[in-house]
Amino acid sequence: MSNRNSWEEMSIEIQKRSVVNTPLEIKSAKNLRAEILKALNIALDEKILLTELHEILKLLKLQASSVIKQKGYSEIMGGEKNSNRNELIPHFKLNNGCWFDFAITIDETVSPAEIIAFDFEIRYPPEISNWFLRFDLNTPNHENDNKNMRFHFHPNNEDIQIHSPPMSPLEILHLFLYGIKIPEKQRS
Amino acid sequence: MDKLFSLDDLLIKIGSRPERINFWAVLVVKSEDMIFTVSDLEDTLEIFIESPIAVISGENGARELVEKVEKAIQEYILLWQLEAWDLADWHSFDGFRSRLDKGKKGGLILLTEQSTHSLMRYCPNFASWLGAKVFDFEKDAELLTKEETNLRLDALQKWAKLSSDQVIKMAEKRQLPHDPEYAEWLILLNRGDLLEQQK
Repeated sequence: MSNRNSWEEMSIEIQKRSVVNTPLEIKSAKNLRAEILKALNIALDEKILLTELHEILKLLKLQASSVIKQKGYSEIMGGEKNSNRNELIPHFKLNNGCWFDFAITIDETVSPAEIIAFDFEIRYPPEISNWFLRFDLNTPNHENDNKNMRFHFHPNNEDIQIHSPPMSPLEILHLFLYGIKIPEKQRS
Repeated sequence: MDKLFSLDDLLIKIGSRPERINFWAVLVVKSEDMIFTVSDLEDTLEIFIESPIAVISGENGARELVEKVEKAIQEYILLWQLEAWDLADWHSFDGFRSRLDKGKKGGLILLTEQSTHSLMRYCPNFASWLGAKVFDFEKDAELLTKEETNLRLDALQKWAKLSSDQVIKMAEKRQLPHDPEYAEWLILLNRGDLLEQQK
């Protein structure tokens, strides 16, 4: 199990385990958006989230593109697109200074509806470091499933991809809200 | 009439005190939006209320509607389809007010502007009991505005160094990369049909 082929075989297995066990079926895009709104509202009440309610409602948006009558594909967007990690672009902000945004694509042409792609990224406050963590679920590809890395995370490096644990978008959101700490050493 | 209330406003207002949902309110909805609004509320309210909700139609008159409310095991109820009611139904409904006020039950009555006027006019007791809890529904407040959509499309074009036309052409040839941003891109362009083709 030490050569390249073995890693590729293992990678296929890891990806299969990860994607198969990730809860991607949902009731509807609006239902998932309501779950997210509820989680953000609770975090606001707990003072974990600093983003005010009126800003949450402005940042948490939905867009749909119908394919067959009312059924189609939907996008839930949390925060504006921010590929350059510009802190001036609207985003969600935590009481520890971390800030994040996300986008989720949902296929509602199938029943039950299914999450087919997402990206979630959280960053440390720039005065502490440029550290970031991003989870990407790429759209399905039946040929090679994105080099066996359809669901991966970037540990503070765009070029490094590691298979993601089977986390749903709501679980990743909870990780961002409650599970990301800045070590004291780094703060000082 | 109270101020405009979006779906989010309703969710936050009702969900902020799920332990006290035993009040009734009226939501004024455009007739053409009624079915989707009922479906959206059914889909989302239970998340904030943390228990199932009942949707009860008034199409067979006030008496049957109130009986169904009393029999419902759910504590939060959506009432709709009261538009075909005649005077007798509205008068009966007014008389049933105290029966709706029993126990822990509460909910929303979805009415058009026309049926709201009927309720106010022919159900004086009910109207006075509702007080200010009449909300004008603001549809689609959670959707991106045209300006927000363009802003996002600009950001995606800068990120990929591609135009929207190029992305559409790539999708048509099934050559679109699988990064999540491209799926979002097609949805913002209202080209979900191209995502369907990628399957």
